[in-house]
Amino acid sequence: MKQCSVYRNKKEAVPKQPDSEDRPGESGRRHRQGVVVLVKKLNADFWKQLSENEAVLLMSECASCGKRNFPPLRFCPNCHAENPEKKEMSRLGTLYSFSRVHVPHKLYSAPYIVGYVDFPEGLRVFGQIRANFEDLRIGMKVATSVCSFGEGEEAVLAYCFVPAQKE
Amino acid sequence: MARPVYVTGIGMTPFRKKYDITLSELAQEAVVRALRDAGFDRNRVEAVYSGSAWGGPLLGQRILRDLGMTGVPLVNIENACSSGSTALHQGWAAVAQGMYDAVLVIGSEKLSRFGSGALPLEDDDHEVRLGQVMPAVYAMRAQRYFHEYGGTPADLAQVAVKNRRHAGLNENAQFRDPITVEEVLASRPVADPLTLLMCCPKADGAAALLITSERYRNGRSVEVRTSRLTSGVFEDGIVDTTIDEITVRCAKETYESAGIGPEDVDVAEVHDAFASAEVFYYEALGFCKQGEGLNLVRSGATAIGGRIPVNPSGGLLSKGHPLGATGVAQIVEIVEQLRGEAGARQVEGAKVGLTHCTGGGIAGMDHGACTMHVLVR
Repeated sequence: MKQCSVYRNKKEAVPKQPDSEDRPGESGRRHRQGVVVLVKKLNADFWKQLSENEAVLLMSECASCGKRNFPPLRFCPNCHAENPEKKEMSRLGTLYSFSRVHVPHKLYSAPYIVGYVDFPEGLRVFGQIRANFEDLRIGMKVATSVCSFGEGEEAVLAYCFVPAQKE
Repeated sequence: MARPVYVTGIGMTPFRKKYDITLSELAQEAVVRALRDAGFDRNRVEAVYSGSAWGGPLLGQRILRDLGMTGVPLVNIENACSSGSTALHQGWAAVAQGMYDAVLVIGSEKLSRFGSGALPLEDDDHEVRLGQVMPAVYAMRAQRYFHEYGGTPADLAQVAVKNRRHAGLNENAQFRDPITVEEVLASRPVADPLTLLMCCPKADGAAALLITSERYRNGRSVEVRTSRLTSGVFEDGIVDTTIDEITVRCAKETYESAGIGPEDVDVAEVHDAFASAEVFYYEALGFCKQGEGLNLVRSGATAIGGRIPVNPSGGLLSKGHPLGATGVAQIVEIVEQLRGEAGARQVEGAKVGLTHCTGGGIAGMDHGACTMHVLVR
């Protein structure tokens, strides 16, 4: 996918940095030709990149009571056990609903498509969808993917969803 | 034991796109109007509750300093779109419990500071960081509603057309010219299937209430039969978003504590931030069954003159939505209706009025807050 060009430098990556206090949910830093380039990963603790355009979401699953949550939480909301285990979710989900946004959040340029995806783990996840709007249908299968927003050093990586048959 | 509580004075400014005075000056207008409406001595106000989402620190003090109303207990309250109605709930509780006999409730906001576009949400929220905006939340619920029950954007447009017709009768509304279904559908897209005229406009505005016990009740006082406040329940599982859980729950508590049912409501002001929201609330408030909200608006039942007029003021869709002021202005409208002072938009014989105000968008919740009030005369 063209928008994932930032990913090409993966092998040069340096160890993941903790989330910045100032910019919650963003992390990722690597060297490229001796220059430190900040690669912002939105919600970086919630997902793992598997390949250029494949990703998997991470949920928390409480060892004590079994409660699952996305995004993974620091405390189990059911029993307050600390740091529930993080587990990979299914990569395929079902599109619950969607909309094309024309009044963008400040990080993004309009129009973009957003949706809620229901996963077999019993969790519903919000994200952007890369697809032709006209091709989307409630109930269709979608896969967890990786999208880059913005260009070059301004680029931000995040999980997103794509129609499953187009993988 | 709780004792009766009354709205004894009401005041509001017209809701407008932009006022060239400060927020505290704007709110002062509403305060003075409410005290004059009641014919009440400002020195007898025992406590103040001021609600605003973006009013900044010590807004209540800033409002009251120049009105010579200082040195009383004063609470500043933020609860997103429910900030003003939450301030009312707190003031109501204090009077009901016997702490005070006369309190002032203020709701005010200046959204002109944000310019155009959707309101900024907190980037602490993981959905917001990925591009979530309030119109999209409601658009996705609408899209799912169409999938479950049928319906088209033209049906949603009817809500906007009705509320605009009502606003034509209300000098305090920001937009008063009539609109057609075709114009609503042709306005620019905001979040499909919602178009601009299906979304509430920003506004600057303020409203104020003098809330009293029996001690200061007068011939124009209206009883607050009940006041309910609740917060959102966290749910990241697979739920039906066409049912507004927080409103269903708050409505149940409200009807039980008021000793009435939805069939007893003569007039209602509900939180129509988006046209689709009003339809969901018809159902959540029990004005019709689940899935029949679009039929209700098509039938004309929710227009003035219908079975259950909703948003005779023009609602958020036509008045505009200055967040902190909205819930307090809803009360102003219902009090005018129950007093029989609503002029051309009077709902004939209205004796029981209901207000419903939800607050805020937050991942995993329908809304952050929900408030409901029942007023009777």
